[in-house]
Parts: sequence; C-alpha cells; structure tokens
Amino acid sequence: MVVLCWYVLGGIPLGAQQSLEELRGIEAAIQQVAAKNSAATVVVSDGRGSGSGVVVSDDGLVLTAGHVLTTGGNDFHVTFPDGRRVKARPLGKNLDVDAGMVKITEPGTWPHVELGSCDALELGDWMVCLGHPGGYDLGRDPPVRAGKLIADRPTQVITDCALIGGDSGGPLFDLQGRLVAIHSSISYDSIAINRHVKIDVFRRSWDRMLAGEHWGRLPELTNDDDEALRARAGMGITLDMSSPGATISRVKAGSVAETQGIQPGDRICEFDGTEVTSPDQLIELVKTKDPGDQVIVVVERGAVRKEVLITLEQIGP
Amino acid sequence: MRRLRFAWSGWLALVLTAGLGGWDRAAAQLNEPTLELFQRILPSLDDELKGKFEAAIDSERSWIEFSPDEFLRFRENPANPFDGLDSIDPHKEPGKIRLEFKVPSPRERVPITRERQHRTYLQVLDSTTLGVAPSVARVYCSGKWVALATAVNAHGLLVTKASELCDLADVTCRFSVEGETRDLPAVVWRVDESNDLALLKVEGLTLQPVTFYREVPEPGRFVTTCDETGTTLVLGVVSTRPRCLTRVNQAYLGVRPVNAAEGGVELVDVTPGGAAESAGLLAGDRIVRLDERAIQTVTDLVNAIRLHRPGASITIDFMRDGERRQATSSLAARNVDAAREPGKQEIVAGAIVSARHDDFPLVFQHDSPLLPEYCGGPLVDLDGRVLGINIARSGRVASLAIGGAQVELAVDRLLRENVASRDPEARALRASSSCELSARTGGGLRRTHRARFPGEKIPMIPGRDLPIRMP
Repeated sequence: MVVLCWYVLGGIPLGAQQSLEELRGIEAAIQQVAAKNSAATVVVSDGRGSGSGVVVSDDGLVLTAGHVLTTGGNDFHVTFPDGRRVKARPLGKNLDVDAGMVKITEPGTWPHVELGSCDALELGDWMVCLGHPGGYDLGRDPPVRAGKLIADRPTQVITDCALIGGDSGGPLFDLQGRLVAIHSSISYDSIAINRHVKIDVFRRSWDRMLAGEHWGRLPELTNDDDEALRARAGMGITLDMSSPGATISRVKAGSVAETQGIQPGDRICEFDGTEVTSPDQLIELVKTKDPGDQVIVVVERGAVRKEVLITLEQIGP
Repeated sequence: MRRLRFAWSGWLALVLTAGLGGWDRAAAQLNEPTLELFQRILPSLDDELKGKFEAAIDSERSWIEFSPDEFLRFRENPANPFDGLDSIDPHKEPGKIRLEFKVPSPRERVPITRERQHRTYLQVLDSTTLGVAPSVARVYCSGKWVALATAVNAHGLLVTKASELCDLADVTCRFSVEGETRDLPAVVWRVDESNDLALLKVEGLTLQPVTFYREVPEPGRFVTTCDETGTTLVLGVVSTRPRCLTRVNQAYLGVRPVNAAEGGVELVDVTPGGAAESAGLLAGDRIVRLDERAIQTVTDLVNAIRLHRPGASITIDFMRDGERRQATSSLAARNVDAAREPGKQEIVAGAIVSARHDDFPLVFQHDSPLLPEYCGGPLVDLDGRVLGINIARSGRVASLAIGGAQVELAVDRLLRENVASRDPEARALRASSSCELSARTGGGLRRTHRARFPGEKIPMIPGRDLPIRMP
C-alpha cells in the first residue's frame, strides 16, 4: 500500500509565554479535543493509496486532502478507528488548494466533528492534530499530537504538530475542538513545518466539490517557507545603508555586538575572512551563517582596526 | 570566495564554495544525514569520484574538492541529488571547485521562535523536572553521550536503553550533585533484550530512585524529558495508549474485528485457514474474553494476542446468538517487517531515529522530538510524576516510552536474575555469555536484538489487569 504524503512546507515571532497553570488548562483542553474527535478521524483509501480524513456530517460527508484522491484506485472505502470499514465514493476536489471530499455510501449515522474557522486564530495558539500516520493500524486510535500555530498563509496554516505520510487529509482542531484545517504537506527539513489547508478555503469550494467537480492542479512544492521560517543569524546591529562601507547606525542593547564593545559609527571591514565593501554584501554574508556559528569580524573605529570574535545570535523568525 | 546555499528535493541542502578558500572549520564536519547521503550515492560513482567521497568519509569532512572535469562528471551522474549545480561554470572558476554537502541535521536545528520546543516555553517547565533531576544520569560510552539513565534504587542501580551502549566495557554515568558534575564508571549488570533495557551499577554515590506512576496516561497529557541538571530538553503530548509493537514472529489470530456497541469485539470477517477459523469462530461472533483478560476494544484484543508467542494456546470467550461460548485456538505467526516500514524516508523526515526503534512488548507513543541520546531517561508529566522511561525515537511523529508499571516489572525481573546468577556456576555462565555478546556485536549491544519472549510474567495493560503468565 502506498502511504500518501505531499511534501511541502511556512514565519513570524513571539507567542506569549505560558505559565504552568495555563499549560494545565491547555492540557485539559487537548485531552478533551482528542477524546471528542477521535472517532470521526478516519482512513480514506481508494484501494491503492491511503490517507486520512474527517467526517463532518452525520450522513457521512468526509473532508480530506485533494491529493489523497489522486492515486488512481477506484475501490474507495473509509475505515473508522473502531475497526468499521465502509464503502465510499469520491466527490470533487480542488487541487489548487489541495482540498477534497468523499461520501460514505453505506446507510448509517456517523460520528462527526464540528466546523470552525481559522479567522479567529492567533499565531502561537495551541492546536490539536489527529490522523492515521503510516496508514491504518489495527487497534491504534489516531495518535494525538499537539503544537502551535507557527505561521498564517493565504490558504494554509503552518504548525509544529508533526505529520507524516498517511496523515494527509487528517484534521487539525482548535482548543475548542472545532475543525479548522486539513493536513496537506510537510517540510522534510524541519519537524516544525507542517501545513494544513484552512477549513475556510474548503468552504469557498464546498458546493463545487459537493457537486463532484474536479479542478486545479497541485502546486509545485517549494522550500520557500523553510527559508522564510528558518531561524536566522545576526549580531544585533543595524547598518547605515546610505554609506558606502558597512557602517553601523545602531547596536541593540544586550546583543552580542554590544557585549563585544561594538558601537554606532564603527565600520565592519571584514566578516569571516571576506572583505566587506557594502552593507548589502554584509547582509548576504551573514545569511550564509547559522545561529551559533562563530565568526571573526574586523571592526574599524577611526584609524584603529580590531578583530572581534562574534557568536551569531538567533534573530527570528 | 563565494558561498551559496542551495536547497533541493525538499530536504537536501548544499553549501557550495567555489574557488580556493583555506577553511577547514568545525562546521565542515560530516554530520549523520550527510554521511548517509554519501553512502547512498557511493555505489553509483566512478572509481575516482568514489575515492574522493570515501576520503571525505574517512576524514569526517563534509566538503569535497573537484577539478573542473571531475565536477562535470559528478554533475552529470544520475546519483547526484542536486539539480542546482547547473548555475556553476567549472571552467570560469579559478582552480578547483569545492562543494560542501550539508544535509540539515535535526541535531543542529534551531527551534523557530514560536515553536513549542523553543527555550522560552521549555524553561517554564524546568520547575516540574527539578524533583526528578537527581535521579537522572547522562550515559557516556567510549566518550560519546549515548543515552540518559534513570535511578531505580539508592544503591547505585540505574536503567538505560541497552542498544545504545556501544561498548559495554566503557560506560560512564554523569550526575549533577548539588550543581557539581560527578562522572562515575558504570558496570552493565544485566540486559532485558525484549524491552531494550539495561541495568547499570555505579559505586560511590547514593542515588535518589524515581517513583514510577503506574497508571496509564490518557492521550493528550503533556510530557517532558529532562537531563541530569533538570533542564527540560523536549516537550510533547501522549499520543496513544500502550500497545504491543512486536513485529518479528508476531502471534496472529486471523480476524477482522470492530468494537461492538454492547462491549467486546465483533468479528466482521474470519480469515480462511487462520487460527480463528480452525477454532470454530465465525463472522458475527463477539469476543468478550481472551484467557483471563476481559476484551472491551479492538486495542485490547490486538494487545492480548500479540503478547503471546505464536503457537501458544489461548481460550476465547465469545457471544453467539445471545449465548456465551468458549473456543480454544493455537495462534499462528507472521512477520510484519515490510508492512510496518513504508519507506524509511517517509517515517524519519526531520528526525534521527534510534538504532533499535520498534519491536517492543508494550509501549505508549508520545510526540516529543527525542534525539536517540535522550532515551533511557524518565518521561515526566506537569506534576513531576514519572510516567515511564523513553525507549526509542521511532520517526518524525513518534517517540516510544515504556510505562512505569512495566519498567518496575522489568527491573524486578533483572534483579532476580542477577541474584540467581550469584552462584559461581551462573556467574561463569554470565561471563561467557557477555563475552559472546561482545564478540558478536563488536563490543556493544547496538543493532543486535529483537524482542524475545522470556518465560516470565509480562503485564498487559498496567493498572487495569493482573499480569498474565506467558506461555
């Protein structure tokens, strides 16, 4: 069996620090959300590939990722965590945003989840993730994962709830237990970059998908988000972009630059063995480094040149 | 000197240094994922290129220098995983071309500011691990940090992850005693291959043993892992209830079960020729008991079966037409190697997986991004209770822990074995078996063991049922 996962990847800083008491409240909420929604978190398979899905109505409408419906099998069924396996048929999909729908065709009343919205979410919010990583595993309830909202993109949210092949199409919940997004893709580089298609985006394509329409194509997966969300290195200085050399206009309080005695007005002549001729060039040089890297920087003050050892700091995202 | 950073294939990054530059800095050292990449492409290279990569592996460096001609041969080789080398004109660059291969290692990753693993969030949790820290040791083997260990009695005994002990003769435990670092040599007393636990003994320090919490933690509970100083290393939540993850020679009943509304497990399907069929079970039957263990859910049934050895005789109580019946069956066997590993890359993306990462008799899963060397230490909840011991990182989404009650039983068993081995004959036997162990594994326990079923008591779900006798 092929286990599906579409490899893709999303930045902004600072979430409020949680106290231990707040964490206890969050823990209670995570447990409730998981217990309430586990039964509706299903495996969607076409007989060839296997992804996840979530039931959103008592008559068995299932949301999944668009790419889960592209493996070419035609023996569709939905498997519940309690072992029930039922027949299903694919409805429509919008591959532009990686959204898809499946309908359970057997009669019955099915466990289902409540729909929410990404609009009210804030960066740093805790989220709960369910799904069937690695495909259906007899006797295993959907493993519970928790993480934070790392970034907000037009059609997706990015969290550090770890996903892997087989999770695609599975549900992401807010702490009230409402479905807010569907798992889509990950970055291979980083466990902190997991992408989920917003439920609001599903709503916009809802009627067309329900009517069985297929459209769009899966976007090329890029590492742009990896790059944008990568922790960058810096020294805590601001450069005067108008001067020809790399002259420092500001030094951040408490930064490594300040600790090493660098002052506004100093000019950086050399960075890690390379002569610095412009502010832009220095910025590019720093970009090639990681936080924690040690570099020797040659600083000029008046007629005096001095070598300074700098351990680069993390400056975001 | 020009330095560019490329990233391809969603997961490979390459740093290119063109031109001559005299830098052999520490950052150019070969990390694990890059070593794996080198080893993977080696077979496809011509002898000259192969020699260059092998020399890089031998000297543990991540860069390779090519002449323009060699560079072109490497670029055109189908094994070259980088498609961005086209931007380099080898004949325009002066002299040799130096490529630094740098597959990002999870070990070097810096958490994003908003991520739950960021130090800002973790430091809040340090207060919850303070009580446990004196029970934690950092285990070094041949000078390398390989695992954590958890103190289980005051007289110098600790448990750790056995398969990480690469040299049984050179094990050191690092403690933090009132802020001071104490390194003590440790002796490997006994090994429980099934659980991958080793009992270590140190002298000269009174340890503070942990008190294991015996109940099964509900999924969603926050869990942390700390080092010997009480610094929180990672945060996660419990993902699943304890499950039996043995896979080699797994006992197999041959049924498709679903949870029944009235409790127990209904059989949707019975595999023709399987153990269930030969015992006379039919589709529609509802299993309520297996040996002395009540069956409420599919999870109960799967665990109950897999904890037996294939060939074991079991007694099943089931309901048919409103009537309670009993059947006896002899369990079949199957290996699930292939089925459980849908491609390593799929599982590990962004993680470094433990050498021994599955085939455990009873473990629960959590989503803390452990590094292999974090295993062997206690897994702690927000109240500082020790829920169990981390035993493996098994993939991007999963780390595995052995529950407290299970660890206690395993430790008891190891201690009893150790007492039994005190008579001279047993001692001699033990000495020879450890020699054999060393000879077989090149001095360590790494990558050698599969779960075995000792003829001993193994508990089912801790806290819910009495331990059963293994057949």
